[in-house]
Amino acid sequence: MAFSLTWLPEVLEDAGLKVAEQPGWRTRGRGEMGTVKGVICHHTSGSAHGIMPSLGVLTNGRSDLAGPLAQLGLGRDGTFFVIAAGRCNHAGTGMWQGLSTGNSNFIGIEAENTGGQDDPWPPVQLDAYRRGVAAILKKIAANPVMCCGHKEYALPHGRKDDPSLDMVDFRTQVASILGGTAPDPIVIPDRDADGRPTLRRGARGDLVKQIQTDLKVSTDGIFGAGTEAALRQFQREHGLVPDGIVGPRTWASLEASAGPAIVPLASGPRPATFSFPAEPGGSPLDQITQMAGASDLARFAWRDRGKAPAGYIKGMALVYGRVYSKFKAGDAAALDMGQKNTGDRGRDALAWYDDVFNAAGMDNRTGGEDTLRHLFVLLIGLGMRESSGKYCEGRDITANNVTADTAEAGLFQMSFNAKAASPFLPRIFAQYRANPSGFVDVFKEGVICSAASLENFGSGDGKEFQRLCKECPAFAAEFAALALRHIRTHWGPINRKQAQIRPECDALLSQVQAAIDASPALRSALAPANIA
Amino acid sequence: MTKRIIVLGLALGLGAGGTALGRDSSRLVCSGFAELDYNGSQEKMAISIDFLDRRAAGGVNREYVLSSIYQRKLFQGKMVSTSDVWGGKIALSDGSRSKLFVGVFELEKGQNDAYTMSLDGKVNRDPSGHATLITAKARLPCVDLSL
Repeated sequence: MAFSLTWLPEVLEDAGLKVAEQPGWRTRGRGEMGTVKGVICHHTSGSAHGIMPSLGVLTNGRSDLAGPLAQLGLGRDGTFFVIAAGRCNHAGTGMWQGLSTGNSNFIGIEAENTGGQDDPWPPVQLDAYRRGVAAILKKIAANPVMCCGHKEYALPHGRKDDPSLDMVDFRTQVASILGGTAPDPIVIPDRDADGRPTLRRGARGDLVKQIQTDLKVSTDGIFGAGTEAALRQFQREHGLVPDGIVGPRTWASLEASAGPAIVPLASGPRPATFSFPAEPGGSPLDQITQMAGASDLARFAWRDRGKAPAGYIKGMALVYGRVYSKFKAGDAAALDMGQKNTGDRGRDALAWYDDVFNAAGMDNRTGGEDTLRHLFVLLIGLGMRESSGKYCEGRDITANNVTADTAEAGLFQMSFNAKAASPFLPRIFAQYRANPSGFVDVFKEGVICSAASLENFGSGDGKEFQRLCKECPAFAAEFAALALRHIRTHWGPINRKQAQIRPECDALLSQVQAAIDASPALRSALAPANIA
Repeated sequence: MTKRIIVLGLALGLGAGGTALGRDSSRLVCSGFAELDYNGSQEKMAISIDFLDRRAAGGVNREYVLSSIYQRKLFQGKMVSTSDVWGGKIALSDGSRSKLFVGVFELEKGQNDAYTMSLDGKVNRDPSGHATLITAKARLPCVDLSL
């Protein structure tokens, strides 16, 4: 039967920490814990070499003391090894804050360190130590004072000297983490020396497929629980920390075991198999709307917004298909959208979001269809933030912009004063004004428009711009996609990095690409002249 | 009257749709205590600032508007940002020569999208009494009122 501390891995992972669960940890312990009141910090006094050489002793105990000796081990690389979910023999006789039942009321963390001057604490390990303790204290709703060193707890005083840390300073750091004033941690590099991104559960694409091939598991391109379990086993067999994350060391081991070099992400994930052929008699565009409706993105709950209207996901998939087709045909505006990250953080949203894209494994260093697709991944997140995916959204009443040039309109809450950012923007406006075919019937699914939201302000081109943004969503999307490359400060959610980047979005748009590549008829059907 | 209220309620309900409304602007209310260095002694002053981040008139930059009601007067300041920093130099004035705050503000985004506004400059704790500006610093936790 499992003991009660089964929440430990989740709490640590939610704090952004690396976690390696040891086989059998859920049922390991000296019995059930009492109410958890705090944490006692230790160091192992083990070997000076290796990430966690004391793991075996902590798990199985010593000749003079039965194991397990702590619920958690902390490796020199900042990985938490989850050893036991029950009570452990780590505290001995002592007292802290009036509590003398250390094993029953305190979680024990044994950090790998000799305790001597010859073994300085690695910053990544120290940072993880503080964050792990803070996460546990937050979980049990305890103050930082409920974290103590073994040397502070043990009686008589002087009986123990671990950990070799200034515990007053340690608690101060823990308090700053709990108070939200500590800087964010950097645990694993975003990329290895060859530019390969660090991947973990939730990642998707061709690199995941290659990892799955090396691990001999199903190659669906989705880094899920099965892939993670196989990866942990691979890591154990190759002397790596079994954290289930493909970082620089694991990349190197996978490459060495697989033989051929793994292709960097710069070449882009290839789309998954296209599985929605057009039904006889149906529109070719049904292929795209059906795959959008069945996608993970259609079920995704956006932060503060919830699920997108069905029409938004389907409509944006169609717009991307149109722009991708234009890109393949050499359209200048589409090529401009797909240019490589310019590095101009003040103007180019892809440069401003570079850290977010890197974290998601999306590389924009090379111009092309991958960068174009990633731009639309950001655009779709922006639309959820700006309008909740409502094509007919009216102006931002909080901001009180009521002139033809400044009134916000539509999915991306743009205003006409953005038009000067690129010479292509007035051209897109003119093209759609002449032929306003913008998939509006698709975007309508799941959306209710109020009369107030349809009101436009001022007169002339600015008023026409507002109308077109609402009545022709494809125009709004193309205009916004291009403007994102030139005038990212136009959008508050971009500046604040509130627009989300979702791998589900990348996966859907990859499918759209595959469908278009396979079907010239679909490319033709997406062209503006062929839309009623 | 009752009929009007029902009609208005239905209209609002339909207008809201199924999900939260989207907005380009951001509105925060940041409140707390400023630490004043008053002739060598440390004193505190309660302060609350309403912050609005909206698109500036040209469409290129962001405009920040800070407002505070103090001694029954509205003190307000605005600036157009041309940098990556979410803040800058600002003066909160009631339209006359009276100023509540002159200095630099900055917003920081912490964990779980929690925002904090820091103030570093001078405040006037009695503008109606034409008191002098006093060196002050503050870190004000914010509530995000953006929909």
